[in-house]
Amino acid sequence: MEANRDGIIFWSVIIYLLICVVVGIWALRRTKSSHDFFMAGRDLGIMLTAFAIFSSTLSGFGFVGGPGLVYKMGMSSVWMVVCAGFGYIISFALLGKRIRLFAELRECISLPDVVVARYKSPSVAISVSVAIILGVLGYLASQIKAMAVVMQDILDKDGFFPDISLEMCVLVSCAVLVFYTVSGGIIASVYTDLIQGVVMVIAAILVFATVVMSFSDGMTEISTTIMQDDAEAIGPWGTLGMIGCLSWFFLFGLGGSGQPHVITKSMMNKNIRDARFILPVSTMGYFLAALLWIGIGLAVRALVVGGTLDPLANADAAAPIFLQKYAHPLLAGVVFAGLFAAIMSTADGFLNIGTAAVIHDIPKALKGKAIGNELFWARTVTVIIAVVSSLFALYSGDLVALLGAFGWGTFAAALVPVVAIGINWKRATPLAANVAVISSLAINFIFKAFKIGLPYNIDAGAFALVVSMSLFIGISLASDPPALDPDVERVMDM
Amino acid sequence: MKLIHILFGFLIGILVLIGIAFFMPDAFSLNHSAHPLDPNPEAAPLFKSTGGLQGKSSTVWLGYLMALMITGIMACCILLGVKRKDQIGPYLPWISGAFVMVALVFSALTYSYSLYTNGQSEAFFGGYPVPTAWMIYGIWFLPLGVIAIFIVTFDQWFLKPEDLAAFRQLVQAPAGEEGGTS
Repeated sequence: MEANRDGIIFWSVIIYLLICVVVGIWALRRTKSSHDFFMAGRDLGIMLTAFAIFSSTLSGFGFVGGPGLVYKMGMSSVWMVVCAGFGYIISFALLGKRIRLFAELRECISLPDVVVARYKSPSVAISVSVAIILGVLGYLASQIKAMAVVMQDILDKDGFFPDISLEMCVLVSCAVLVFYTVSGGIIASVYTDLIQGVVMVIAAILVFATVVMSFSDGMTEISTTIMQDDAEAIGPWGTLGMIGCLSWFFLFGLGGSGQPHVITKSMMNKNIRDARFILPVSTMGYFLAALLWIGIGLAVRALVVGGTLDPLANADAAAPIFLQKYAHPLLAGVVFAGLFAAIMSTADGFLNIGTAAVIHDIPKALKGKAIGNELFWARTVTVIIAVVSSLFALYSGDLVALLGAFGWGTFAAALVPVVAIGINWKRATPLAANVAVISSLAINFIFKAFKIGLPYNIDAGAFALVVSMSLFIGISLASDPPALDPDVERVMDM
Repeated sequence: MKLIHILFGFLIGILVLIGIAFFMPDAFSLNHSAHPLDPNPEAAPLFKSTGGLQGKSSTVWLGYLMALMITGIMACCILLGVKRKDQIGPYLPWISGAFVMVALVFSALTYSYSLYTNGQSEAFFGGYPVPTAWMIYGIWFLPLGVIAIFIVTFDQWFLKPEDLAAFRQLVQAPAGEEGGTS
């Protein structure tokens, strides 16, 4: 079996991609309107919604970038993981009930629809849509690029397609993604999310067990080896330092309530009361899947500083190298399929919300009504966004990395105050909402583009989130209370 | 004082702390550099801490205050979400208590970290050095208790059956009767 390791990985990924295609064909028959395409007919059960929420949160970054960061900095990036429990609770408290009530009350099919219902202001809907489109382009392009790079690595190693180009890998991986997203819309997306979530959890548990069993004294031996080389690296703040880590804890904990591809899933469950079970299921799913992030990163660092493994030329190689050298071939196959799953489950959500912003939210805000034949245009624009993002991924150079990096922080700073706080606080005004969105875009872009550093490695996204929330609350408190529609006010009182 | 004012206060508090941080003498010093084993120091795929800097008491105090502010912001956001008709109801003692626990865990973590960086403690718990164990088993696992509170009290406060009945009536009301769809 060891001799067939590359072949097993190759066929695991192929089987996974075929499953996605089959789900797309099945979901095609269930997608009859734009309401089905964007909201899954608001008909999802507990497991589907919960797995869609957690697998959308954990992108390919969790399977490649996360272990890479732990290898590179020690425990620092683990703060992005340990905040998740609080993050899901905050999301649940702020959004789990009210955003679902708003969605049904006003037949909302996107976040900007909720924003219009809450603020009665097309300008807020436009600014939120623009923030979503900018974030989607960057995030989606970086996911597509990650997908293509992994595929190229697998095909090249296996020898089936030596010297395959990155462009061809973008084409193949995007073809599968676009096929199931166009045919089945969000229905295909959430059903593939369920499969993807299960694959991620199984992969993470097995990998963590492999990590612990690879060292005779388990995690204690890993920690001791790292400590002997650099005590700070296995300390709670890693090599980044206390304040920088806390800024990640804040940004990734509170910022989860502003990720549009995740929170729109909270509008899709059939029964509002299911929220009580969606919260624990999605939190546990993320807890388990995150074991891979921590386990591989620490194990590879211990192996390198202990002299067992050569130092890596690239930190992102930590997960692939560990799987190649230490994991059973079948497990490596499951994890590589899990990696594709993690990337695709995030990318399909972005395609869906980006399409909604282009064909539904902006036209509705400008013209006051939705365009005709929304389903046709939704499918067409999904293809166009995928093509534009693919070209962006291939040919825009550093801009992809810049926009990809600025995605989470921008969504957090723009949408946490406007959506998460706004639907829970009646005093919030449209002016404050617009200022919050503009400040989030400006701060994130300026700090990332000009590489402006903050003291103690404080993350620019965290700074933007504090500023945008402060402006949002401060301006609202200084303004006259806005007039709300009575039905909206009643929902906010529930 | 209203909840939103407390949240605003915590946010301003963090901005003040960031402002103070700009004037700290070691604020822009690097905490880490390329590891001596690193094959490619330009890309720096492996960092090693530069030693001692992070354990400075001024940095630890600033970080500790920031951790408390962040804990306060998170608690305020959850309370804002569970509020109904301007009342927080039975969640107030539970959520407040849970976040007091978080603040205590941060305090224990910070104290044990001070001992750890001064070389006064090399004790392990659950496979990690003690301050790291506070992070993993305290900060990471504590939310599970808060989730249990939500599951148990969901029907009693978060979404009462009568709320759902009122909501159904609201949805079925003819457009305009409730000031509806604009």
